[in-house]
Amino acid sequence: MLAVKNSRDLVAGSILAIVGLTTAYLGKGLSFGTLSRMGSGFLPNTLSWIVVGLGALILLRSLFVTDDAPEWPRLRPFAFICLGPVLFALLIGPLGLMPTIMVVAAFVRCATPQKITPRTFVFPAALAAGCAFVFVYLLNLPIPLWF
Amino acid sequence: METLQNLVMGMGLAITPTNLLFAFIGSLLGTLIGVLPGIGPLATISMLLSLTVALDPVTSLIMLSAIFYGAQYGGSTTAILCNLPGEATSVITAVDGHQMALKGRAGAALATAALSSLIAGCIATALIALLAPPLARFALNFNAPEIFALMSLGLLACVIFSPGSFLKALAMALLGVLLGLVGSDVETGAQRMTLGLAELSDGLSVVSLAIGLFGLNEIISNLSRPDGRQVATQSLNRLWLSRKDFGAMLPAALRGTALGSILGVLPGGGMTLSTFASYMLERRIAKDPGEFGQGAIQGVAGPEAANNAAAQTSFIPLLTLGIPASPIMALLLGAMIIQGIQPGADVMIKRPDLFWGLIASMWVGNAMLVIINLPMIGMWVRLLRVPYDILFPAIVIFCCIGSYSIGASALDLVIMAAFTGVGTFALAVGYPLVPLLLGFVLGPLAEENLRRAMSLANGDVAVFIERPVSAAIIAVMVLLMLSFVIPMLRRARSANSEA
Repeated sequence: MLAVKNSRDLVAGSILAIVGLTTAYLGKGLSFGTLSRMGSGFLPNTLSWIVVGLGALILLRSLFVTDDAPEWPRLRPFAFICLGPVLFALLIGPLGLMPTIMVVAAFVRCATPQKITPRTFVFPAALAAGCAFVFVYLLNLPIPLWF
Repeated sequence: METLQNLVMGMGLAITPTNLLFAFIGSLLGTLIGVLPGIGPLATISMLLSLTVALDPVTSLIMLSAIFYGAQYGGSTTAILCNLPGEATSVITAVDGHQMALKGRAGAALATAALSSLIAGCIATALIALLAPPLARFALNFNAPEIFALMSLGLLACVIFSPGSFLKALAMALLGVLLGLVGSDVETGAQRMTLGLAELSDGLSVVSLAIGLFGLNEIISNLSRPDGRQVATQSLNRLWLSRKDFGAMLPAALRGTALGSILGVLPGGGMTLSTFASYMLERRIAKDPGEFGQGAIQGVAGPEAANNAAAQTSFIPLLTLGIPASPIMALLLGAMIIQGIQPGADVMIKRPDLFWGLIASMWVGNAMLVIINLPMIGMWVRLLRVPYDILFPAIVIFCCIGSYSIGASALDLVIMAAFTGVGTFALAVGYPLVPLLLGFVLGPLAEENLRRAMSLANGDVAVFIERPVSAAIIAVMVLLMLSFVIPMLRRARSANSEA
């Protein structure tokens, strides 16, 4: 019986195949055309299926080649850093730049453990003030400062 | 003579107060991020891409380029003083540079690094000025098949030189092309893979993609590692070289420059490669190879010169063919497109100011960098003591502002977050990220040229081998593949016979 020799390629190959199938599905309605007159779906479809094929090959590799296990990052920094920009996206419209920066900076800072000191509160405020000065006053970015 | 005239014209542009100021800002920023290990030129340039839209194209490219080569200088400072390479290209510098510092020769090591970089930067920039015009003139005759072949070569080289599995790198490159195709099709107007979102009809923003993949991702991996940053606090002695040191440094720097200039033009990661190649060359020809690893001055001069020369000559494919040789160049290509400049062989003719202004600014920038780096070294070292828990929230905020400011679109921020996740996942299971970015930037351009080539040739694929230039490019691709596959097969066979 075949046994999985490395979980890294097992995960890598299956996700890749799923991604390829997804793009193939998304490009399904596009016209393929011919070689001399390529439609909008020619490259998306061809590439999607090649990607699916590569995914299958990598999946196959997991049965024969030993490799290290996947090196997952720590969950806490991953979650806070990924969600930081999403929070920024949600707040920037209703709140404006200064409050958004303060909230997001404080939120992102939680990616690593911290002791609550005055710095915990001073730093986001200082960062917001600094950013407002550089980006809005110096560089004239058209972002409202306050709600 | 024409080159000389053009250079004078470019110099005139490079020393206008605005351009001088932005070259300085770029050099300063470059040094700063080169010194800080948590953030590299790729992330910085992608953050600033959106802010430079308002600037004149020449000014914006001058600043973005200065960030890039400035980071090469900054990276070596921390490598020497703290055995902490700020960039991948200064890993080798740390070997002998830090040994020199431990032996009380930190000043000499820093001076060697700065001077070798300056020598290499000046010579390599002169090379660009000499070689780029004839190359671009030659490339002007290229038609769609040649351009498509060149882009494929660039992508293939990037895949082959990526660390890790070939299949995975190839998959990432193709995935990058697919992502690049998102949005409305230029030719037919069809909405492709936009999930019905109107904001996506212009395609994914290269800034959000690059910041997510490289900037934020880097922070996550830094935070996932146990903290290993410590700054050696040795006092700096005089920052100059004795005559004997200079005599040992100069030939090594010149050899490094030659090596780096050649490797830098190659698509894929020529820069890091050139530092290793130069180090091995220096060790091989040294009278006393035992000195290497113990603080050999040649071991600092050669690689430092090589990486700086390669950094400069990697501009050649971008400026003459419109093909980026590295991810940084891909971002600069993105910057040109955002500015409304169609990259390609005719940039030099349509926008001579851009081309020559940029080249002349490289001399200016390199000279500035020596001034920024040597006398101000104490300040940079002090900066290393800024704790990372202050630095990283600030970087995240800059990334958000950079990504948001391009189109004031909340979706761009979500895309950035999504690609942070994609990048983290990809690295965890061994997919390299650079081919994805290169595929993304080249994808739409490659499709356009493939379409044009195929419609000109009536769908006959043989057109790629019938035209001499594209046939030659394809031959190079085949050779590249073979040089990669044959050693692999040989290794597999010897492994089998041993078993």
